[in-house]
Amino acid sequence: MFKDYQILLGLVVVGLIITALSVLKSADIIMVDDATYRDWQHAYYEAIGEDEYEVEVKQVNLETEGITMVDRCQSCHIGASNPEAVDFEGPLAYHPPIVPGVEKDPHDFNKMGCAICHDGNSRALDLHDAHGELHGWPSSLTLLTGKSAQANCFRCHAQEGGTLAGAAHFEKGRELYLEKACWGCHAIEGVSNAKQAPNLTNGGGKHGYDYLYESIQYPKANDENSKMPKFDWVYDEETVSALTTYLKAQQVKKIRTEKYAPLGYEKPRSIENRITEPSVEAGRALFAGISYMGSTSRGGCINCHAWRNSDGDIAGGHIGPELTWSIRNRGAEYVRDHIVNSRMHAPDSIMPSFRQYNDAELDSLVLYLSTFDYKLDSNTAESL
Amino acid sequence: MKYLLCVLTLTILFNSVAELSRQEIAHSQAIYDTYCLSCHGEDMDGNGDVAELLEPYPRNFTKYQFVVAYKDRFKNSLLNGVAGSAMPPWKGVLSTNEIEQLVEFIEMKIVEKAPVQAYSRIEATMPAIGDPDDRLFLDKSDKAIKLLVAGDPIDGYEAFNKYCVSCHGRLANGKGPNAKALGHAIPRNLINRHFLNQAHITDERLYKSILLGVAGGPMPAHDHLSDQTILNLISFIRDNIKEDSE
Repeated sequence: MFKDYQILLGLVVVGLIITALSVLKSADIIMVDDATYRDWQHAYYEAIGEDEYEVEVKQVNLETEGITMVDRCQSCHIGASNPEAVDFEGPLAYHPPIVPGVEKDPHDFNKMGCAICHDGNSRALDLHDAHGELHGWPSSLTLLTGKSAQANCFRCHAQEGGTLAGAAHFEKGRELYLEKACWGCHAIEGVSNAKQAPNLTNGGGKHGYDYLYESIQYPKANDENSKMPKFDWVYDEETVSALTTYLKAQQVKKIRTEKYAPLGYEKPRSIENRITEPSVEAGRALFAGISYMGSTSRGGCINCHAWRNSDGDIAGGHIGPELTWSIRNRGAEYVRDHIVNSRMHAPDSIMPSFRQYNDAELDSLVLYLSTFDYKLDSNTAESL
Repeated sequence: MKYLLCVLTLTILFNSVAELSRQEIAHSQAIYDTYCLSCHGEDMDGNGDVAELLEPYPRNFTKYQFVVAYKDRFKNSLLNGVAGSAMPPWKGVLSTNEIEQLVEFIEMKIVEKAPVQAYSRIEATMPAIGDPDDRLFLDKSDKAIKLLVAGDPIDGYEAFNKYCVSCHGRLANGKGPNAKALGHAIPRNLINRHFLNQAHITDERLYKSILLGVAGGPMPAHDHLSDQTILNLISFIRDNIKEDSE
C-alpha cells in the first residue's frame, strides 16, 4: 500500500501543521476557547473607545501579616472599578458596590485586589488556574462567587454585637446558626464551647464552601460515622447557602491587625445581655431560638423537639422526643438536670448540654414547658 | 361517655378478662397514636420518627414472644419509665386503667399479626451461694460436687471476653462487632448504670436473661455455662458499673 517514505512525508506534514498552529496561537493570531487576558484587554479598550493603550498584567500587591498577596485578577477583570462598564460582557463588567447606598464605596479594588474576598489563585492568569479549578489547588481556597463571598468580609472586619452593611447573607447565616442551635453541638470560639461535634472555629479555613454546603445537607456525605441529624429545614438552597457562608467565614487567619487592615482596625467588644428574670415569655423565646428583649442567650429546642398546643396541633422537629408531657412525666427537677447535662440520667443521649444557662434561663424554660397542657380526652377516641 | 368508660374499665378490673371492647380499643389506639407513636412507630416495631437517634432504641413490640413473656415488666416500664433510656414514666399522665388497657391492646395487636403459637417461658431460679453447681457438666470425669461461691469479677471478665464481647463489645457498652447485624433490639448497654441500678433489675433477672436468653430478642440461651460462670459474669457486670466512692 503506502511506501515508507510516503508515511514519513505524511508525519512531517502533520508535524509542520501542529508547529504552525502553536506558533500562530502563541502570537495571538488565532483564538481558542480560552481567551487570555490580552484578548480581554483588547476587547475592553475597544469597548470604551480608547485607541492608545498598553496591554499589561495588572497586579496588586497586598501586604499581609507574613506573606505578600499577589493579585492579578484585574488583568482580565479590568472593568471592575469602572462604573461605565456596567453592561460589559463576562469578566469586563463593573463590580457593583459592596456597601449598598453609599456614594463612594470605600473598597478600592486597586488597593485590595479581588482574591481577598473571592479567594481563588490570584497569581494565575489562566482562567481555570486563576479560578482555582485545577487539580491540586486547596479546596478551602476555591472561588467564592456571588453572595458567598461575604464570608470573607470578616477577614478584615471585626463584627460582634452589630451587623455589617452589605453582609446580609452572612448575617442571615449567623441568625440561623444561633436560631437552629448549631452552637449546641459545634463550638466556635466566642459563640459556644460545645464538645459534641467538630469545632468550627477554623471550619472555613480548613474546608471549602462546597464541602461545608454538602455537610449541612447530607451530614454523612464526608464523614460516614457522623451522628449529626439531617435537619428538615435544609431543603431550601437560600438557607443552606447563608449558613454555609457564615461557616466559611470562620477562619483563624485574619488580616485584622492595626498595621495591615486597609480601613483601620477596631477590637471587637463582647456584649453579653442575659435573661435575669424567669418568665414564660423568656422561656418561649429560648425554646424557639430567638432573642428575648435583646438578650444574647439563645436556645432552639424546637429544632429537635416537638410540642402540642391545647388543640393537639404538633409543631417542631422530630430528632428528639416530644416534650408535651416532659414536665408531667419527669418532673421539673429532671428536666432541669437534663438541659444542663443530658447524660446525667440517660447516658447515651445525644442531646447537647446547655450548661451555659443561668438559673433564670433554666427556670424560664421549665416555666414554659409547664404551660403545655394538651390532654387526650374521650372525644378524640370517639371520633376515631 | 366518661361514666361509660369508667364502668367499662371497672368491669375489666373485676373480671380481669383480656377482651377489650370496641370503645376501649379505639381509646387505646388514640393513646398509642398520641403518646407512643413518635418513638415506637406506627407498626409498633420501635421505628418511630425519632427512634434512630435514641439510645437504647425504643422497644420493638412486634416480637410476639417478648410481649407475651414480660407483661408485668411491661406495665412497670409504662408506669415508672425505664431509667437510663428515653422512656419516661407515664403515671403522671395516664391512669393505671389506661395503662393496663394499653398493654392488653398492644398484645392484642401483636397476637393478631403473629403466627398463632403458644409461648411460655421456662422458669428458672437462681441458685443461692453454697448450693451445689448443678450445671457443671463440662468435666464429666470429675464426679465431685462443687459448691457455689460468690461471683468473682475477674473470672467474670474472663468469661465475658469469651462469650459476650462479640455482641456486647469490649467496653460492655452493647456495641460489639456483631451488634449492628442483630437489628432491633440491639444488645443491652451493660455500662448504663441508671438502667442496671433500677430496683427491679435484680441479679435474678440477669441470671435468667443470661441462662435462658431474652424472649423474642437476639440474646441466646447460655445453658452451656455453669452456674458459677454465670454468677461470675453477674458480679463482673455489677462491678463494672460500680460508682467510684471517694
